[in-house]
Amino acid sequence: MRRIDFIPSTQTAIRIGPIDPVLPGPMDLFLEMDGELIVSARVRTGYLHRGIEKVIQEGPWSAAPVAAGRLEGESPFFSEWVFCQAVESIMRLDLPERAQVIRITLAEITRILSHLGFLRRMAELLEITPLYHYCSRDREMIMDLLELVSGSRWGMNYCVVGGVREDVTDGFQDRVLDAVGEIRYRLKEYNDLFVFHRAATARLQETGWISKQQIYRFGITGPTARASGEAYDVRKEKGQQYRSLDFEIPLGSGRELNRGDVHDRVLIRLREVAVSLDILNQVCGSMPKGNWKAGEVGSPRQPLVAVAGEGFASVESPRGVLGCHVVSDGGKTPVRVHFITPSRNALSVVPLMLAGERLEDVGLLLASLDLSIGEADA
Amino acid sequence: MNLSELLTLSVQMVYAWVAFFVVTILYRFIERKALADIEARIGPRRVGMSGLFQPAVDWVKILAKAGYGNRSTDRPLLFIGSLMLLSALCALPLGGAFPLLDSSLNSWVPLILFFLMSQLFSLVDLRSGNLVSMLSGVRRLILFFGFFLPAVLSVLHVYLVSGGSSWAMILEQQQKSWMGWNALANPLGALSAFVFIISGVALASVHPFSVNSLTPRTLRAPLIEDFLSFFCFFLWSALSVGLFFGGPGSFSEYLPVWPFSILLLFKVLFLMMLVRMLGSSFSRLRMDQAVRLAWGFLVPLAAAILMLDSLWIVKRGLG
Repeated sequence: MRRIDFIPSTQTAIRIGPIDPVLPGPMDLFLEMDGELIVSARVRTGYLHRGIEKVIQEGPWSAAPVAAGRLEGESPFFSEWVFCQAVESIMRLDLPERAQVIRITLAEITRILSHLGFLRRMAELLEITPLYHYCSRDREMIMDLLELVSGSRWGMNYCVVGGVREDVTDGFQDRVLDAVGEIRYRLKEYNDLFVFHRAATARLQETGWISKQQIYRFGITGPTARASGEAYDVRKEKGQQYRSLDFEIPLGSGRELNRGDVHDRVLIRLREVAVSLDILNQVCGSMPKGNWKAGEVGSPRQPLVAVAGEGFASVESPRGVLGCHVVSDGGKTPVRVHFITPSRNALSVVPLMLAGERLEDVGLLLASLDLSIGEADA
Repeated sequence: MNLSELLTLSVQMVYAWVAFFVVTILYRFIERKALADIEARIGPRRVGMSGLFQPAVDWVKILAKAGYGNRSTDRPLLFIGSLMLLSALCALPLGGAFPLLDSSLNSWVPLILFFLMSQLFSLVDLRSGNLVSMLSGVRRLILFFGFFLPAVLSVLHVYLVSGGSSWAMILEQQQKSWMGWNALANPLGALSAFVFIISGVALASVHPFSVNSLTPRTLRAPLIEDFLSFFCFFLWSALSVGLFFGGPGSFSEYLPVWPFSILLLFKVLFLMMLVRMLGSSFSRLRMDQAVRLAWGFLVPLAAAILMLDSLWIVKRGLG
């Protein structure tokens, strides 16, 4: 952490929120200011608490993935996926290979969608309007793919226990590969802008440091942790579905410096988009044939009832490790469901990260963590 | 001044204002279409031919939504600002009958009005009584103190070279240089133009130097603010063209000049468009970066230019 020698003067207190354009969602940010510099910050959330876990516990097993998908708006597939994986671990279900590949395809497509959303948010806060529109244009292409698969551009309701709801349509892989080609071409432009554009890098570099120690202390995962040099990725560590795929986990300058700034967090997401494109190239190039669901699980002939037991699963969501713990007593509804969300942990580093920074950078610094308040409030 | 002269002057002013509003709408349309093209969008296309009247309709729409403010708005200040800006038109070298104000110091009038207008929103923010609004007002003031000096120093270069501060002398001197532009007369002229353009963009609060007003919407008057910001930008561009890019130019016998010189208008709007286009690919500068640019680069550069000007004048005097 940088040491700031504050000029002794009367400090002012500012409250930003609960609704403000600089905030990632409904929350309160209490700042104590010395001029333009932030002396201390405090966060209060809870405005978006919807009781998702309780909703899942109250409903039947078959409706649970739908409710789980409402955990987070930007990348709903991951919360559906992690819940289904947790239930599948209780039921000890073996998924057909095609179902696993379709899930990986959807996961990587959603990751690209989320990271492009992140870049769009950064462009919005940096006020580089053309980039904002370019990212929106590319996101449209991705959302068209999601619509093609699930019939919905946002809440997908596509993942079910035992596989996916429907098989992908004919020609889906070709359309994904076309989109991969186009995004890869445009990614170079985005990369040039964030790496070589002096005006942009001047705003992003040397600000919002998060050290490796803070990553461990607050349990931060995902791109934010990797930007600070912590090379943990569920896809490499635990992801059995990803085992056959060839891809690298990008790391930020934190690998050498033991800390990462806002610029690192932007670049790491750009590189992760490239990694996702590589994965999509591999899975869509050779998608196996066969079933997209394990037998008749969840069908009208065999209603879904999990056996008694406990299951835990985790996936690498665009914001970090998303975990889900499910307890079943063999009844019609889950006994207990709990999500471990990356945004909740990332939110806890905000006061430390903001101390010593400028008021003008608050929006940029918060956006660099890619927080989802809906996910944090769950 | 007799009654008929006063009437003529009034008609000229009113005609100039009407022409200005029409040109503004046209410019806004072209600017929005061009920026939309850069941003891979279609842009306005519904109202009028290809969306030609969209800016006019937008103004009416804002007006209908209390765009002129409400009881909490600092309306007196904003109306005084609007009147001052419209008066600035009379002292600009727009060609034809303009500048209407005939004085040896007439170039100072739009310049001072521009500086005052650039700080109008600071006053609105500072008078709002809201802590966060006052913070944005202070930011604007800091920006003003940073860029005011280089802007004035670069204008002094023009006065030194021209030997006076009346538009007639400035324009006459420019005709002697290459292309009839001060900016192309010599390297010092080019550097002065550069300093004035950057400082002026910052003072007019145009992206990438824009300062987001933190004043709550309930205290604001969007229509008047929109008009004032646009006209402040226009004033900056007209001053830049008048001081450095030849003013109305010497094609008055070929092009219509009443109420404005078409050539001058084209130059003014082109400069505005250029700044908007180039600015759109830049991220907004943080306050400390903008202030560092002003005090660390523009002020020393403008001071050095002025010193070299003085040396050149002394040498010419001795010669």
